Amino acid sequence: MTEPAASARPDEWPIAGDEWHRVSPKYAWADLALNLIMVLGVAVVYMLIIVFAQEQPPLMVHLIIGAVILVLLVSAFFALRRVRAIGYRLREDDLLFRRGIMFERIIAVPYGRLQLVDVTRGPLLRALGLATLKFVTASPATGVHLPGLPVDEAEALRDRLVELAETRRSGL
Amino acid sequence: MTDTPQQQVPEPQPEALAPIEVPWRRLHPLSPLLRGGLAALVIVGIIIANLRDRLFEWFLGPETFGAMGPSEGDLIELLIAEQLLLWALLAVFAIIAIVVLTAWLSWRFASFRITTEAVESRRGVIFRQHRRAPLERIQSVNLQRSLLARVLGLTQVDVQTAGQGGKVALQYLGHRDAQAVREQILLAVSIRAKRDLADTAPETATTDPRAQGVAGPLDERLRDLADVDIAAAALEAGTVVKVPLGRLIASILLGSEMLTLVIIAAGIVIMSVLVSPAILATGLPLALVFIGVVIGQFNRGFNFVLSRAADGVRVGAGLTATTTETIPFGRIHAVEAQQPLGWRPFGWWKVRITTAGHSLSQGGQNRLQNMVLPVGQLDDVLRVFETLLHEGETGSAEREAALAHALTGPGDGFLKAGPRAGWLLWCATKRTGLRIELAELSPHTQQSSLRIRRGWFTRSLSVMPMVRAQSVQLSRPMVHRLLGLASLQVHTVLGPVRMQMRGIALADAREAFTLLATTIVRVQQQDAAERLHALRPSTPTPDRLADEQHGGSL
Repeated sequence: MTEPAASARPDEWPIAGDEWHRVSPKYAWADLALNLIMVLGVAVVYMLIIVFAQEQPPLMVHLIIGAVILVLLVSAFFALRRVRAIGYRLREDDLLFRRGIMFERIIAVPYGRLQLVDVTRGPLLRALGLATLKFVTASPATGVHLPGLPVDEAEALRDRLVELAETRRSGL
Repeated sequence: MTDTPQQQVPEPQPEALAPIEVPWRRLHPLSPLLRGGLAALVIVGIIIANLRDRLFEWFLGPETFGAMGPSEGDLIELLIAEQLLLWALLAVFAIIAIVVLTAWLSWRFASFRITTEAVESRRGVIFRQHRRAPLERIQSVNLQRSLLARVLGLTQVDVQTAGQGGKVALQYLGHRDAQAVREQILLAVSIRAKRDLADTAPETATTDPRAQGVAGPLDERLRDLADVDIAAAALEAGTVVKVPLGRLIASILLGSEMLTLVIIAAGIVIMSVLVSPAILATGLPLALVFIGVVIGQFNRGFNFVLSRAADGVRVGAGLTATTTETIPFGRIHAVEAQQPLGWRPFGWWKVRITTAGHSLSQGGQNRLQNMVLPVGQLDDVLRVFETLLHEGETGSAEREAALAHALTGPGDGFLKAGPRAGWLLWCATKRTGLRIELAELSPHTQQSSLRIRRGWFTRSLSVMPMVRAQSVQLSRPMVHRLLGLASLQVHTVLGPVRMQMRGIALADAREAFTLLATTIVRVQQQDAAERLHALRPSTPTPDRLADEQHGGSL
C-alpha cells in the first residue's frame, strides 16, 4: 500500500502492512459536501444574528461561531485523509475494520457473530453511486460501518459476509 | 384453543427421550384482578372521594355531619332530587357487569403452552396477541411477585429472550404452579440444548393444569408469601450464598452512594453557612432521591439468595416485591466484582453480570439490576464466580486461588498499564491489568476467559468467557495517542460490565489485540463444532441439523 495513512507503517503493526480494502475516494466528496453545508448553515445563522440583533452581540458569540467554522473547515480539509483511513479486510475467520486518523480505531469481528448486514443509501450517497454497509452484532458497541462503498461492491460484500457467517455460525 | 387441556403423548424419538410438552392452559383466575388492580383502585378512589361527605354521614351520624353544613355538590343529593337514583344504580350495576365480563373474557382468552420448540402465550379478545419464545433463545426465566401478588398468592413468570423487549410474560399463576412451570420451561430448554441427555425424565410435565393453589389453606398461603424460592438441590448440596441483614445494612451505609450523599450534604451545609441559609432547601429533593436509592438497594438486597439449580443459577431477593431470576448455564456474557472504598476494610465485594435479553429501554438492566451478589466476603465471591463461569463442575482450589489473587493480590501475570499511563489512570495505574486465560484442552475450551482488573476508588475485576465475545477493538483517542498508549475493549451484549482496559503501551496492546482476535475465533469455532457434534447422534436428518444451526445462534 502506498497510502500515507497513519497506521500504514508495516514495521509497527503486523496487520497494518497487509492489503486493506478502502472505501471509494468519491465518498470524500460527500464528506466534504456535508462539512461545507454545515459551514454554510453556521454562516447563515451568524448573518441572521448580525442583521436582526437589536444591539451589538457580545464578543463571545463572534468567538464561538468563528471557532465552530474553523473546526468545520479543518475537518473538511482532512476529509480526504479521513476517508482514506477507513478500511476493511476479510481475513479467514474475522472481519477487520479500521477508521480514523486522529482517533484511530481498529475492530476485529468474527464472522460467526454477524446478526445482520444492513446496506443503506441516502440521497447524497445515491447521487455518487455509493452505499453504506453496516455489520451488526449482538453488541451495540461493535459499530462497524463502512460508508461510501460503491453499490456493487457493497452488495457483493453483503452477500459474501452472509455466506461466511452461515458457514461459521456460533451461539450468542 | 383446546377447551379441555389434555396431556399430549410425546412423539417417539430416536433416542427415546420424551420432550416436555404442556398443552394450552389458562392462567390463574385471579389474574385479571391483579392486572386491572391499579385501575380498579383508582376508580374506587374516585368514587370514595366523590361520596366522602355521604360516607361521613353514614358512619358518624347526621348530627356530626349537620354541624359541617350541607354539601352543595353532593352527587347522591342531586340524584335523589332529580329522581334518577334508580337509573344511577342501574348504570353502576351495568358498569360492574361490564368490568366483570371483560375480566372474565380476558382470563378466558389468555393461555400459554410449552412445546418442544418454544414457549407460547396468547391473550387479548379483540386485538389478539400471540407471542412465541423459541427454547434455544431463552436467556432466563424469572418469577416476579409484587406485594399485592404475594398477598393474593400469585406470581408472574417472565420468560426472557435475547431480543430487545422480547419476553413472554405469564401473568399470573399460583405460586407453586409458577415454580412448576418454571421447572418445566428450564427442563425443556435443557432437553432442547442437549437432546442426548437421556436420563432426565420429564416427570414434572404431568402437572395437572387445574391443580392451582387457589383455595389453599391459610398457612400454606403464608408460607408462599414468605417463600424465598431456593433450588432444593442446592440446599442439599450447600451451594447457597446468602446475605445477612446486618451486613447488607452496613454495606449500604459504607457504599459509594452513601459516601457521595454525605459529601454533597456536607457541601450544602457549608455553603448555607457561608453564603445563605436558603441553599439548604436545595438539599431536600436531593435527599429524597438518595433515600429512594437506598431503599431500592435495601429492597433488592433483602433476603438475597443465590443457589445453583439443576439447569442454571437462581438469584432471588426482595422485601416487598420479590424477584427470582433463573439463568440457564451458558447464558452469562460477563461477570464483574466491585469493591467500593468503604468496603475495603471488611473485604466485601458485590458482583454483577451481563446477560443477553435485557431491553435497551432498561439500559441493559433487569429488576435485580443484574446483581448476583449485593455484598459478600471473598469466599462468597469465589463461589459465585465458580457457579457462574464453571457450570456444573465442582470447584477447583487452584482456580479459586488464582481468582482470589486477581481480586486482591498484586496482579502478577497480568499485562500492566504502559509507561506514562499515570496521566490517564491516576491512582488506579498500579492495579490496572489484563490477562488472557487460555484453556488449551478441548473439553475446557469454553473456559478460556479474559480478565481485567481496574480501579482505585472502586476496585473491580471483570471476567468474560471468550466464547461470548462479540468483537475486539483497539482504539487510540487523543490523550492515548499523545502518550503513546492504546485502549483495548472486548464488546459484549448490552449490560453493566464493561470489558475495557485503558492505558496499555501501544506494542503490548497490539500484541494483545492480535492474540485476542485469534483466540476468540478459535474458541468460538471449537465451541460450535462441539455443539454440532453433541447434536449429531440424535438428529440424523440434515434438515434438523440445519435448523439447529440457525436456531442456535441469535
